[in-house]
Amino acid sequence: MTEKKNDKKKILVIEDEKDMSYAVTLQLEAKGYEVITAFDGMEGLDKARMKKPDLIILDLMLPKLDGYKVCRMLKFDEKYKNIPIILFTARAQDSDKKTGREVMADAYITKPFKPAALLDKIQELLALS
Amino acid sequence: MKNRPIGIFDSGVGGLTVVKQIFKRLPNEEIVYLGDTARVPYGTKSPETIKKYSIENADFLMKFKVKIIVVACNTASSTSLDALRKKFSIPIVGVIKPGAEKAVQITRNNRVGIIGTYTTVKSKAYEKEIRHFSRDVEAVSKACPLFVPLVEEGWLKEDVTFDIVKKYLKPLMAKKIDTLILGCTHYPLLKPVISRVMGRHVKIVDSASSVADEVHNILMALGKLSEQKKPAHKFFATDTVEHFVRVGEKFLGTKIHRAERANYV
Repeated sequence: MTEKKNDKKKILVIEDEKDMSYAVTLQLEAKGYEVITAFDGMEGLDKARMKKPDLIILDLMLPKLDGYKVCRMLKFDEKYKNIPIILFTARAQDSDKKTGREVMADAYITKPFKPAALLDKIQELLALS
Repeated sequence: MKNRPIGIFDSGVGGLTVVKQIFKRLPNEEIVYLGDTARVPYGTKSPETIKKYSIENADFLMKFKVKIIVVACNTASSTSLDALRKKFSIPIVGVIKPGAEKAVQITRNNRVGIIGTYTTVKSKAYEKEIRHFSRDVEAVSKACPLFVPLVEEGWLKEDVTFDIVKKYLKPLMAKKIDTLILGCTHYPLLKPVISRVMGRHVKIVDSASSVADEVHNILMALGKLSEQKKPAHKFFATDTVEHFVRVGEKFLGTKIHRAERANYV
């Protein structure tokens, strides 16, 4: 049982909106991922560094430290730069994507999103890493 | 589960602007709306009383097996969300956070204006939420108490309305804001006049449409968007329904064919 648990890919969800975080957690756990949650940018950054997740889902609008800053601090750090990051962006905000590229996010998901679109993107990034 | 209704409550008719946006965004969703018209306004009541009312309203909506509750009232959103989340296990969405978040996202010069009733402005609920997201954004607020009676009277295009709006918004224009939050569910009806007064360079954040976005995001992420084609909506008021229907239709922009009295108050 313990061995099986270690095989699970670990995903850190950094999202301040509790209902959204819960929704994403449900979808990921149903697919067999282990989920860690953080509800603001500072907590997210700490957990990314301490728990070494296999992938991070990161909302842009976060209390304390916004998603761009969290992304930049991880992607410009040798120790963490290989962890794939998916940025949640709001509807029709092209400037989000531009800034997202500058901070080297690996992918974007625009809200609202279908759970399947998120799960496909996760699989794709985990296969690459 | 998917086809269960969305429950929405407000202290009166203002929350129907949120319903209008949800109709637009999510036409397959069935709505159960409750206007607590017997106890309006909430703004003058204590936080404990508002929490009690909010829980009673949510209890009423739960009888319809709603899958999500929208608190379409600024006062109740600023006082009761935690208490509601503690009691009910379904998602609860308020009106303040989505509006504040949107404003922080779209402001370019980091100067955001907020207009609302005296109570909302005094509560500083929007400022707190904005500061939560960004320390760089300067928020200025202005209470506009005459806007609600203008809207309820249906004076949306009169010269006097333009003059009143201009008088209230002048201090915000002087602060050179580039984004303005409509922090009251009545105000979307005045949006054309407000836009005209503020000028095209000021972006207007209508909480009602930000809330509809939030509901859409949550339901889609949960895989709970309704698939029914012709949803039958239900409207309730805690006082007589005549006034509710007459004024409510202006907010909704469409006919309310049937409204019933909710008798728990």
